[in-house]
This record gives sequence, structure tokens and C-alpha cells, in this order.
Amino acid sequence: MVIGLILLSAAVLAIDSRLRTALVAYASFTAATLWLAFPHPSTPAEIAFVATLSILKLVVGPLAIVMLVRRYQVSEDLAPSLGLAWRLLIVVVTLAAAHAIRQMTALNDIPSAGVVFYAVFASMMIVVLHRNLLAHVIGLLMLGSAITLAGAVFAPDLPGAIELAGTFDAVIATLLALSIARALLAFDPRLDIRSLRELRG
Amino acid sequence: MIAVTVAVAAPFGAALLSMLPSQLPVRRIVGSVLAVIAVALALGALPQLDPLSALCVTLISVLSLLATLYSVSVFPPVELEATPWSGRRAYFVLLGAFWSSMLIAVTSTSFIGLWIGISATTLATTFLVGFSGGKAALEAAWKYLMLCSFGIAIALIGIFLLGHAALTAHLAPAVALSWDTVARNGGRLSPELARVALLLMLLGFGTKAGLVPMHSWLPDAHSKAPAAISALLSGLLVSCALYAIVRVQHVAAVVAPALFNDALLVLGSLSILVAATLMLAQRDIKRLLSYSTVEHAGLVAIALGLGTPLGEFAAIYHILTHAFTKSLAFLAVGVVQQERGTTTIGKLHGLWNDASGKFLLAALVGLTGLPPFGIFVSELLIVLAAAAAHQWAALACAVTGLLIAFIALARLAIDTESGTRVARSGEHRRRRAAFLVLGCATAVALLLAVIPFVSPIANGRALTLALGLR
Repeated sequence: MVIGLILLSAAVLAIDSRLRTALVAYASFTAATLWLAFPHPSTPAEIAFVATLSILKLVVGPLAIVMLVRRYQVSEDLAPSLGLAWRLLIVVVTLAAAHAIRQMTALNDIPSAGVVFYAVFASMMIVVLHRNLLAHVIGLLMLGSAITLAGAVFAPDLPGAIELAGTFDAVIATLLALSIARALLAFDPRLDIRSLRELRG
Repeated sequence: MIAVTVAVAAPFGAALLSMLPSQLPVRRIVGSVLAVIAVALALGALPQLDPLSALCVTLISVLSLLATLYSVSVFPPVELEATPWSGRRAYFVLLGAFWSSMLIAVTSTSFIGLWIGISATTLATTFLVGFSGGKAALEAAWKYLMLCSFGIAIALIGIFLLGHAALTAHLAPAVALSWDTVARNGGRLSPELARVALLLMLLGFGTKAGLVPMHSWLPDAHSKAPAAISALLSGLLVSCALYAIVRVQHVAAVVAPALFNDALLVLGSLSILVAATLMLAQRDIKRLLSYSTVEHAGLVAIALGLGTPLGEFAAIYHILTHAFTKSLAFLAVGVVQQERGTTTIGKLHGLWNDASGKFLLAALVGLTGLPPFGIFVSELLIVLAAAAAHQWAALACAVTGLLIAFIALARLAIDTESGTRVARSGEHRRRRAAFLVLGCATAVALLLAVIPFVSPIANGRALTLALGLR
């Protein structure tokens, strides 16, 4: 059920281009990954950690995006860079890639390895498939959730691993991405990356 | 341990403290003195570190100090649409944070600490890359953030998987990610899982090192950042990422040497060929120098991929020589940019007539691999090491890439240094501190041609390796 929600919400994020739908799908994705990563937080420290991450990821992140949209009249169209058929195909390929990774001998003894890699691929997919920078912010937020999930699935007994992943999630994904997106608004209120093609790496 | 912690925190603390005085001249003096104290603290902590970490701490401390003093003299221009972080105070605080985070990376003894340091550099440098607040600078910062975030996330997944393999092999959780412990117990790890983990770590840290095909952020970020930051990004940040790869290789040498070395050879060969070719097409000095950084990172990857003691020695030696020479180049370009108001190659002529142009020429001669600069010796050692290891394909790629890069850099030197002097369109004030910094960097870039072979620290090992071609 939880894994199904992760698969579905990531697919919706890739296929649908409306910001509102994307935010709902993102919230479902994040809630599901948090649930999978911390099914039964028991100690006060664990509960505090999960609560902080939940507030940051499910309240602060989406709220900041909504505020950016309302205050600066940012376009709510996430501007897909490929047609619907191609996006659907990429979702299927991503699912197949995650399934193939799950079948690797190396990851046989890790039950949710496939979901972790799907979550990472999905966050990349959102970035690649949309031209609106807000989609890229959502992609980074999803990457943060995927990393937290990776910490919980791959190294639950490693001291500090999950906390480290959570901090990465909070600082890099949320703070940095939103700051730069906010600064870029001065040049293009639509936040379309087509206006950011001066540099050719 | 306390000395190392103090040394790591000192640059950031110094940057914060130097912001306290309200008057700019006092702040400049306090900041410079505190930066020197931070370096002294770092050098004092060297005996507690292993030789490679000690070398990297010295490199980071010296170059960061030079960049700080340079920034005091040549402060980067800010465009009209300045961002909230485009102020003098923010610049030096971010610079201090960048310096400290690199020290965290190289003084740590575990992959977790290394990763924390490397990812903390992203925090500070994203804002520094976008410091000018111009559209292109913000675009570069965005690209840098996106690609490097995915890169370091992949590295972290690799670290988690390595941790999983270590815990499954019943290593103590507290030391499960210490490279020495993991390497000592490499035989107990699941080879399949360890291979996946190490390759993910190579991919992640390789992104930060700018290895092709994960390089596309580097030319943009390095060329759009202020000159002193470009110098640190190319000279130090790439070196820190390569240092991380050296540490990963330390474990890979036990678990999966052939696979890891082959991956390094492929990435290195691709990097040097692609970057050298793209250098020919550049019309901006800073972009050309940025591609040159990718080329040199590729050369280091090839040297590491040889898997021989001489290859490893040449790689670390090259990291050192490249760091100083490339920093010198970017710092000289920074002065040229302020004097002439541009970095476009076609608009710059007769630079030889200015002191900054002479320093730039020295850096370009060094980067082409000509004597008497240190890069000449380190590149020669890499070529000899590849020949000694019978890695002919990698050797061919390296030599071809070096020749193409030589042509690009020689053309740049001829185009910009020769010709009649163009009237200065930028600022005209004297920059004694900046030229002192350029002089120091040039001296070190030259001295590095001999230091490893006569230094008592190397204890003759460098010479033995080079002459024995092992």
C-alpha cells in the first residue's frame, strides 16, 4: 500500500503538469517515504526527528512554494519538456530500471532497495521532464526524501546515518533550492529554464 | 583531536569575528590577521593527521589564505540586481565556511565525515557562485546546485550501502565507515554489494570532481564565480573531490581493484579528451580555464586508475601542482577582469604590458606543462607511470588530450599577451596585496617542480618511486 503510493505519486508528478496536482502528489510521496522510513518511531528523539522532518517537508516546503507562486505570480504550469507519451514511457522505463536493480544479487538481502532507487530515479525524472524551476525544487525535495529513505533502508543501524540524510534533505534541498529559485524570479517570473540557457556546460 | 577540531572551525570562526568591527579598514586588518591565525592552527594540527590528510590541510590552508588576502584587495563586482547574499560580510563568512568545510572533508577518517565536508562545500559555494547576482551567475549556481546535489546524494547512497556491507560483516557500527577499518576487513565484505557501493561513491564524488560525463556544471560555475572563488573551486574543491576518490580507492584496492581502476581509467580518458577538445572552442578565458580543470581532473583519474604506487604518487603530486597553477591563473584573470572590464579572449590584447598579464602568462606556461613549473614534472610522471603500467590506451588518451590542451592554451597566450596595449576600461587602483598573492602562488608553482624530491618529509620516497618507475 505504502510502496504503491510512492510509485503512483511519482508517476503522477512525471505525467501531470499542474502545480496543484504536483504538490498533492509530492505530499503523498513524502508522507509515504517517511512512513516507510520510520514505521514505528519509539524513542522521544526519533519522534522529534520525524516530526521535524514532517513539518519541514510537508508544511514548510510546499508552503514556501505556494507563497512564491502567490507573491510573484509565478506560472502554475510546470511546463513539461516532453509530450505525454514520452513521459509515460519514461515512467515505465524508470519502474523497469528500479525493478532491475532490485533483482541484482548485491541487493538481494535488502527488501526495499528497489523502492529507494525508484524514489531517487523519480526525483531525477521530475527535474528532467519539466522546465519550470518549481518542478526542479520539488525534484530536489523528493531527492531529500529518497535519501532519508535510503538511510533508513540501507543503514538503519549505522550511527547518525538517518540524521545525516535528514539534514541533507532539510538544508540542501529545501533551503538552498528555494533561495536560488527566489533569486531567479528577478529575471523570469515564469521560472522557465528556457530563459536560463545562456551558459552551455 | 581537539587541535584538529579547533583548526577546522578556525576559518569560519575567523570570518565571523572579522565581521564585528564596523569600519571597513579595521575589518580588513582583523580579517587578514585572523586568517593567518587560522592557517597557523591548521599547521599546528598536522602531526595528528596521516600524511595525505596533512598534505591536503596544508594545501587548503595556504591557498585559502591567499584567496582571502586577494579578496581583501580585489573584491568581486556585484551586478545591479544583487541577491541578498551579495554583500562584503556575506562573502567573507561564506568563504570562511567554504574553507572550514574543506578542512572537515580532509581531516575526517571516515566516509561519513568526508561526505559531510564535501556536501557542506555545496552550501557555501552555491551562494558564492551566484554572488554577483547576475542572471548567468544565478544560472550557474542553479546548475551547480542541481547536479552536485544529485552527485552527493548518489555518493551518500553508496556510503550507506558500504555501511550495510560493513555491518553485515559484523564490523563495529562506530568504525564501520572508517576507510582503514573497512580496507583491513575488505575480505569479509560482500563483494557484490561493496562493488555497487564503491561505484556509486565514485560516481558521486566524480560529479563533484567534474569528471566527464558529470562535468557540465563545472565550466559554468567556475567561470561565473568571483575570481578568488573560481581559484578555490578549481584549485581546492576539485582536489577535495579527487581526495575523496583516493580514499574510496583505498577500500576498492582490497574489494574490487580491477573494476574500480578500469572505471577511473575510462572516466579519466573521457574527461581529458572531451575537455581538451572543448577548450579549443572557448571564447572566454575563465571558461577555457574551467575546461582545463576538467582535463586535469581527468589526468589525475587516469593516474589513480593505473593502480600502481608511482601512479598514485603522480596523481597526488599533480593535484598539488595543478591547485597552485590553476589558482594563479584564475587570480591573475581576476585582476585582468578588473583592469580591462572583460574576460572575452577576442577583446584582450597586449596583456604582456601589465603585471597581471605577466602573471597570467606564467600560469598559462605552467598549465601547458612546460618546464620549469611543477606541472611539467607531475605530468611527466603520470605519462611514465602509464607507460610502466602498460596502459597504452589510457596513455594515448592522456598524451592526445595534453597536446590538444597545449594548443588551446598556447593560442590563448598568444592572442591575449601579444599585440598592442588596449586602453584600460576597468578600475585603475593599485593592488599591492593582490600582486603579492600572485607572486607567492607563482613561486610555489615553480618550487613544486623540486620540492617533493628534496623535501625531508618525502624522505626520498618520491625520488625512489620516480626513478624506479614502480
